[in-house]
Amino acid sequence: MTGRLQDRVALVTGAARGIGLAAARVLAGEGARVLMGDLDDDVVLAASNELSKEGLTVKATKVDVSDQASMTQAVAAAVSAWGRLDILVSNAAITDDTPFESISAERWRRVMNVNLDSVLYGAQAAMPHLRRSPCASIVNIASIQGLRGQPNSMAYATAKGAVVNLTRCMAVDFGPLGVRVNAIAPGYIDTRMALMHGNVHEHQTDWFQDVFIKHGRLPLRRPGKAEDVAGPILFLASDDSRYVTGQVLVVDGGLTCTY
Amino acid sequence: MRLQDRIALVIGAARGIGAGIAARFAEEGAKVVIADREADIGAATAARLGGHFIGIDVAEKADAERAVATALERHGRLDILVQNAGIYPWTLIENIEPAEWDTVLGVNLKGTYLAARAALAPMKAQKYGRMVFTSSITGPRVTSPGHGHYSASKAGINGFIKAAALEFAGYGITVNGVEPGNILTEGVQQGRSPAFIQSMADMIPLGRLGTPRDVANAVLFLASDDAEYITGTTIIVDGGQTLPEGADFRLNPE
Repeated sequence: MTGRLQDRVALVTGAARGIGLAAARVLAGEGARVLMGDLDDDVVLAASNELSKEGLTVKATKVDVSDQASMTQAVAAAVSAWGRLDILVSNAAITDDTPFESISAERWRRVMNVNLDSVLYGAQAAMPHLRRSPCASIVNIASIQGLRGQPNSMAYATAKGAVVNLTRCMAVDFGPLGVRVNAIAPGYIDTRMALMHGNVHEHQTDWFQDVFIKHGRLPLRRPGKAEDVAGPILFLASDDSRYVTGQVLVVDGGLTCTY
Repeated sequence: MRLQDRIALVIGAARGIGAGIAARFAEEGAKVVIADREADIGAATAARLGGHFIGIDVAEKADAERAVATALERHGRLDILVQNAGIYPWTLIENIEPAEWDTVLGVNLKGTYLAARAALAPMKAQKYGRMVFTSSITGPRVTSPGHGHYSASKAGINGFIKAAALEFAGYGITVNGVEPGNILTEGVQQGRSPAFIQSMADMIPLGRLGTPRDVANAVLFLASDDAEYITGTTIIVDGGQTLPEGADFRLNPE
């Protein structure tokens, strides 16, 4: 069977776990050859071995997305492995809930560096290859926090909001070059990155269960799974979205529909 | 096949974007029921896709209910509702008479609520449903003179999408929409010169007008299992047209 991404080459950052891993599996499942990049090189190598056993064409590489040279090397590794690059999924990020009074200049720069600068570095490294592809797509993982004001999230939400508008600007500049750029804004997704309250996962707290699940503040009444975001990534990476560019696809179970 | 054996009702599918949606669904294994005001063309489109046709005026409650009933009678269930019927007369606000306002809002907005309401009962009983409504960039994002009623109706659809998404979420029903930009339908091709169409394309970052299939692919995604966690939102399918402030992005020397 021919997949929807047959023979295309993709680089997914933050692919050791969570949304990045689910995306790598879905893209490779549609016939793409996927380079899985992550700072945790042991974990991403194990994950890629697992996907290889499933019969998928993947490789792993260590990448520090906050470092422009490292990002450039990751792109070069994908191109040297498979001769082209068609899809870049900029997913790697760190979370942050530092209150305003405590945000240090170093912490602020670190969050911007990992969550925002990485999107620029990825695109800069990838564009020389993407513009030669007849089916090029960049998918940036933003957040619904980048669309709203959120308590104790000045650094994270500002970086994600900037990813949203960087996506729009890239789409305008790269559109005439045949490269589409879109973002996804996930809501509450069950991954390691969801904040921990003590030893309890955010989505397991009494407050979350009461307000979001029982009382339906989260309309679909469940946190999302990483796979719930992987399907939308596939849509934006594939030709099914060939006339969609500069958009932010909200994947939040209806959360941002309500107050 | 991404919609294997799903039952889909596509309203406003005789031609243009709606016909493109119905065709894409059929390609992916869905059984389609097409509803439209235009009986001859609608029946031909349905025959071409191996589907069934029913003639309706979506602005009439009984007709919207009859369309849903037809899908249920023929196939026993209704998985996907697409309400795509829309009209777009060009009239400046100073000349829009109440009757014309009511007609545009009647088909575009009231028709959407009537279709959703009619499809709710069977989808609720199944605890499964996918509703996708055709909105537009005209109204929710941008507009131009002469589209006062049309803009209001399409912005209204976006509000209705959120409200319906919230109310139906507990029943396993998602409600979303697409906002097409300039789509090269038969109507656009017939009404405008090639030079004018090229001038439209020059305003769009992806450098061309959209096709019905471009919109259909986004609708297909929202109707498919890949969009299970998406509700209450819209996908803009406009080639990036509403992103730049002006066409000067074309000055990019590359």
